[in-house]
Amino acid sequence: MPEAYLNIAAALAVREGFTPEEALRAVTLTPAEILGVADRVGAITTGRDADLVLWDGDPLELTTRVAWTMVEGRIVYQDGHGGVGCVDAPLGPAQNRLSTHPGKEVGC
Amino acid sequence: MAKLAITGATIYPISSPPMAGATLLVDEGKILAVGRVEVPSDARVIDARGLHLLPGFVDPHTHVGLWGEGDGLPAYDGNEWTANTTAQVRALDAINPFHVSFEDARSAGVTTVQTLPGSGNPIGGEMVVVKTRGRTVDEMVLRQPSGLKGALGENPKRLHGQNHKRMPASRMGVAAVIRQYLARAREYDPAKGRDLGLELARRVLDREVPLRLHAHRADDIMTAIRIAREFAIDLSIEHCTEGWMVADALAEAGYPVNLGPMLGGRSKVETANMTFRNPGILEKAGVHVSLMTDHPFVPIAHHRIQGALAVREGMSEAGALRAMTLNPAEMLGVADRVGSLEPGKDADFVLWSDHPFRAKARVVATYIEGCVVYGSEL
Repeated sequence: MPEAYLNIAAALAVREGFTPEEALRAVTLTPAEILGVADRVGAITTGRDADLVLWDGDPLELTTRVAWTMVEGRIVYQDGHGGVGCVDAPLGPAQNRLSTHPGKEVGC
Repeated sequence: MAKLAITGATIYPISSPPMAGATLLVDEGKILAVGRVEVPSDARVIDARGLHLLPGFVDPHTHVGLWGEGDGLPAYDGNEWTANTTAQVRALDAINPFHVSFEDARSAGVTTVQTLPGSGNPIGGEMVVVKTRGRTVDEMVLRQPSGLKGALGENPKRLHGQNHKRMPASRMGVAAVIRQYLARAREYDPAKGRDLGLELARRVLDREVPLRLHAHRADDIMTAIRIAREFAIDLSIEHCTEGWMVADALAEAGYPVNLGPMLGGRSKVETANMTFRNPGILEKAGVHVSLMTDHPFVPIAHHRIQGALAVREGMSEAGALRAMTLNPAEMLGVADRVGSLEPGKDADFVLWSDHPFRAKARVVATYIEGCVVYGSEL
C-alpha cells in the first residue's frame, strides 16, 4: 500500500474501534518509539525536529488534503505544487493560501 | 411479498438530486416510488431516519468469484493463457457463487459486478454482469455476454512473448493479434463449422457486444480507439490510467472509460502515471467515467474509498457517486434494471450509517431485489 494512504489506514482503524487519539498516536509517536527515534520525531515538543504537516481538515477523513509538509523547518511539499525538496520560500498565513490557489505563489 | 417502505432516510436517487427525509417504496423486488410518497397501509415500514440510502454500487470491472484469493492455484481461474486468442471462454463458467468475494461485495454495498477474464491475452474471453447474491451463477446473471475482454500493453507481452516465446512479444504484436481476430470474423461462415470464438467476434462486429480493452498507457488507449474505429465497433477503455494525459482525445472519441484500480502502488511501468486526479480531469473533459476496483487488485471493500479520493483530487461528489452507480450501469447496458433509484428498476439499495465518502461510514444493510443480503433489517 502506498505511503500516501497512511492517514486512511488510521481513519479506517477509527471506524473499527480506535479512538482518534489512539489512531493519530499509532502513526506518529508510537512508531517513533518502536524505531528508537522518539527523541527526534513523533511529537510536537520543544527540542524535537520541526517535522510538521498542515492539513486542510481532519486528517482522519478521506477527503482531507495535505496543505504542506515540513521537514526540519523546510517546506518539502506544498499542495498544488508537486515539487519535492526544493521549495524554500517564506510562507504567508496558511488560510490566505488555502483560500486562493494553494502553493501557486511559491517558486521551485 | 408485502410492500416495503423505507422512510426518513436521506435518499440519493442519482438520476435526480438527493432528498432528505424521503421514502423509498418497494414491491415485488422492484422500486414502486421514491421521494415524497404516501406509505400504503399494507406496507411494512422501516424507519431509516439518520441513515443514507443509495443505489447498490455497480462495480464494472472485477474478478469477483473467479480469481481466487489466498486459496492458491486450484482456485485461480483468471487467465486461459494456453493461447493468445481465447474468445470462446466465458467468465460465466468459472464463477463460484460461494466465493468469499461475493460476501465482500455485499458487505461493501456492491450489488452488481461485471466479472471478467484477466488481461493476459490480447483476446481474453466473454465477460458477464451478475448480481452479487445467489447460489447458482445462472440465477445471478444480469447480462451475458456483457463484453469481449481484450488487453493491450505489458501483460500480453509478458505472458506470451516472454513466458511462452510466442506471439505477441511487442505492442505491435498485441494489436496485430486483435486485428487479425476481428478480420477473421468478417470472413467467418458458420455453415463451414462453428467457431465459438468467432461467433462472439461477429456479435462484436454487429455491435451487439462491445470490445472492452485493457489499456493503461496513453498510446495503448489510442491504439484501442484506433482499432475500434477501424472495425466500427463499440468499445470501453478499461483502466485508462494515463487517460488524463489525452483527455481531449478521449472526449472527442466518445467511448466510455472505466477507471481504476487506483488505490494501490505503481506496480508496472505502464501504471507509472497513476493519479487520483484522473477521474476529475476526465469528468471535466466530458468523458463518460466509471470507477472500478478490479477486485481483488483493490479489495472491493475499498470501492467507496476510491470514490472519496477521486473527490479529494477534483471530481465532483455527484460525479463520483454517478461513476459508481448509473454510469457503469449505462456502460454495461443494464441501466434499465440497476444504477439508480427510479420506479420500475430493481430494488437494489444500501442503507449507510453516513455518506459513503465519510471515513466512518458503515453499511447498515444491503438489499437486492427487496431482500436483505447483508446486515440486518431494522
